[in-house]
Amino acid sequence: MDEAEFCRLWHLFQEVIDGNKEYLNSLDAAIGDADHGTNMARGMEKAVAACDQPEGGLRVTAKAIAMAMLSTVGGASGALWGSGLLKFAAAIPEAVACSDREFAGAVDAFVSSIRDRGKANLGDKTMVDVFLPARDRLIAGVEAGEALPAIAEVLAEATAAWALETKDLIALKGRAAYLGERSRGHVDPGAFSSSLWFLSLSRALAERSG
Amino acid sequence: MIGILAVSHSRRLATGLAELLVGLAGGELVVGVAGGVETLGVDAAMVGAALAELEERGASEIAVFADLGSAVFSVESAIELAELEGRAVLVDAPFVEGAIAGSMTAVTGGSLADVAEAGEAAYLVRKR
Repeated sequence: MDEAEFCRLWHLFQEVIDGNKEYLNSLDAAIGDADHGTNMARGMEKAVAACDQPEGGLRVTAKAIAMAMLSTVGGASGALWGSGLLKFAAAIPEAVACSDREFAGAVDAFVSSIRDRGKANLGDKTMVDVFLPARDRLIAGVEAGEALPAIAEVLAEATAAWALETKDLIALKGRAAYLGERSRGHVDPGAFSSSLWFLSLSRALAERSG
Repeated sequence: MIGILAVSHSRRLATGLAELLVGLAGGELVVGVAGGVETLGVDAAMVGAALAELEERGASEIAVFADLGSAVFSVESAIELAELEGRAVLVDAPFVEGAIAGSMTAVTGGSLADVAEAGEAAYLVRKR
C-alpha cells in the first residue's frame, strides 16, 4: 500500500462517515448518547487534513491522523481509534509505501491496542466484534498470498454482516453495558462505523491501477 | 508531592469532587480537574493539559481518578502520550469514594502505590 492509497482510504472513510452521520447518531441514541456519528464526522474532517502534506511517509501520516482523532472525536471512540492508530503508526514503515504483510501487521497492532485499552472480548457488542475477526481474516489472506484488494473486498462485505450481528448481543462493555438485556435489539454504533473503515479500504484499493 | 487529578465528562462534577477532596483531605492537597470543557465529554488532549498543569504546580507524581468509559480511556492515552507511566497512574476506583480515600492517603504521606491501593479499596467499603 502506498501513501496515496492510504490517504484515499481516509478520505473515503471521512465521506462515508459523513454520509452515515445521522444513521450512526440514531444507532447511538438507542443505547448511548446519540453523538457517535457527529463525533466521528468531526474527527474525520480534521484527520483527513493530515493527508494534505503528501510524501510525509506512512508513519508520519498515520500519527497525524491518530493525534487528530485523539483531540477531536472525543468519547470512547476517540480514545480507542486515536491510541490504536498510534500503535498502527509505530508498526507501519516510515517509508511512503509498505508491503501487504506490513499493512496487516499494523492493523494487528491497532487491534491489540483497542483490546488492551477497552478490555472488550469478542461478543461484547463493541468495535472489537468487527475488528478482531477482520484482522484474523486479513492476516490469513496475506499469509495465503491473496491480493490485498481481494481481501479488502471480502472484508467489506463480511464486516458489514458482523456489525449487523451485534444487534442480537447484550452489551458487556461500554456505557451500553449498564442497560443489560435492554441493549439487545440495537446495532452497536462503534461496530458499524468500524465496518465502514473496511468498506473504505476496499474502495480505496479497488481504484488501484494495473 | 502527589497530585490528584479528577476527570469527568462533566466539568462541574470534576470541580465539585475537587472541592470535596480539598475539604475532606484535611491537609495541603494539589488537585486538578479535566473534562467537559464546552460540552459533556473527555478527550486525551484535555487530560494531557491537566497532567502538565499539575506537574507545573509541583506534583512529581499524579493519581488520576476518572468517572467512566471514555474518561478512563482518555486518561490511559494521555499518560502514555506524555510518557508519564509510573509517575502518573489511573486508579481503578469508584470516582468519589476512591478519590477521597486516595487524597486522604496522599495528605498523610502515603506513596503513589498507597494512594492507588486506598482508592481501589474504596470499592469494598459498603454503605449498608
